[in-house]
Amino acid sequence: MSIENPQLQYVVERFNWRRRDKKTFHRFPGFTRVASFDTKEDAEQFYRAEEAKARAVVNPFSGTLAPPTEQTDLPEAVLYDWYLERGFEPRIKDQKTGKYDWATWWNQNSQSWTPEQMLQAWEPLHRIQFYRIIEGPKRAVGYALVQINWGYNDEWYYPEEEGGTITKVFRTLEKAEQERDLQNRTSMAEWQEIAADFGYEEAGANQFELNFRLLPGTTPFDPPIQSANEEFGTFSAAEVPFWEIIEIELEGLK
Amino acid sequence: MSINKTAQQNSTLYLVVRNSYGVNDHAGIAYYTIMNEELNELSTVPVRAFTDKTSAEDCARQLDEEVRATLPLPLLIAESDDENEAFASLLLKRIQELQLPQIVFSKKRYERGADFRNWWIQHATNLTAAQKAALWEPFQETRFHTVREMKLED
Repeated sequence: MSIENPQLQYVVERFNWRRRDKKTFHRFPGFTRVASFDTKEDAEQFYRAEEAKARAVVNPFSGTLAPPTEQTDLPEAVLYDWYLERGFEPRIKDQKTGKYDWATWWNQNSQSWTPEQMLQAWEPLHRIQFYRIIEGPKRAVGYALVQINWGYNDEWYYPEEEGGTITKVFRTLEKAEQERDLQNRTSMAEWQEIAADFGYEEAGANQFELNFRLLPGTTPFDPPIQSANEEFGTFSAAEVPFWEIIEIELEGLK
Repeated sequence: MSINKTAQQNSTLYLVVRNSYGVNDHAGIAYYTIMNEELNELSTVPVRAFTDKTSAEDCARQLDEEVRATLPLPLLIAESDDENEAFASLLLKRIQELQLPQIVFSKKRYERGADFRNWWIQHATNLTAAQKAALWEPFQETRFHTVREMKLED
C-alpha cells in the first residue's frame, strides 16, 4: 500500500461532453470538477467507473467533424484493418463515395457486442477521453451561484445549454444552498404567476423544455430526464432549476 | 472575529469563467457562444477562483491553450454575420499562408461555415499536429476563458 502525501489531492474532472440525442454527444471547450480524493487509488477507481459509464452510451464517431482523425492516431485504413483483425466487421464503405461511415457502423453493431468486445472496440480510440485526474495541492473550495437563463421559442421556455449568469461566490456550501433555495422559490413563484396571468391552456402548467441541459448532480451520460407529460415532453416550473451551485477551487485561500 | 478572518472572508476574488457554448447542427456541426440578451453579456460557467489577478489571468490563458489543442477551428464559424466573416477571412488567409490545400467555396455566403467544415473533414487526416496548431496562431484573441472580479461572500 502506497503512502499518500496528505497535502495532495486528486481531482477528477469531466471534459465538457453534452448529449445531443440518444447516441450523439459533443465535446465543448472546458471541463467540470466532479470529485476530489485523498488517494490516487480512490480517484482512479472513480475515474475508471465513470469512464466506463460514458463509453457504454457514447458513439465515439458521432458528433465530431472528421472521424476517425479526432478519435485515433491510426490512419483510417489501418484502423479498419485493426477492427477486422479482431473479429469486427466494419462494412461501412459507402459504395458511391468510397468513404467510411464509422458512426453508422457503431450505431448498428455496438448493441450486440459483448462487454469484452466493447472494451476492445474502444482500445484504439485513445483521443476520446471523458474524464481526467489532476494531482495537485489541496485547495479550499467555494460555491458559485449561477442563474440559469431561459429563452422562449414562441411555444416553450428553454434553458441555455450550459452556465448562465454568475451572481455570487460563497465560502460555505450552506450559505450558497440557502441563497439558491431562496432564489429558486422566488423564481418559481414568479413563473407560476406568469402562467396564471396568461391563462395558458393545458400545456401551460408544463411550459419548460430541458433540451439536455444537465441538471445538478447528473452527468451527460445518465439517461435523459423523462417528463411525466407524455404528450409534450415538457416540465412544470416546480420540476426545473432556475439557479444552481457550482463548486470551484479557491486558490490563495485556506 | 479576528481582523484577518474578516479580511479573508471579504476578499476580492478573480474568477476564471468559461464562455457557455451551444451547438447548431443544421449545416454541419457549429458551436456558438450564448449571449444573455437581457444583460447583453455572454453566459458563462465558473471554473476556478484566485485571490491574485495575475494567477487568474495565467490560468485563463493556459486553459485557452488546452482548448485550442483539441478543438477543430471550423467548429467556431457558425453563420456569416460580420464577426464570423472576419473570422473566416482570417482563417482563409492562414490556410493560404501555410500552403495547405485550398478551400472550395460554394457561391452562397451563408454556407461559408459549412465550406470550412467540409475542408476540415476532407483534410484533417493529413494535417500534422503542428499545422493544426499553426492554424490557431492568428486567433489568440479568441478567448474561451476570461477573468471576472467578484467578492467572496462568507
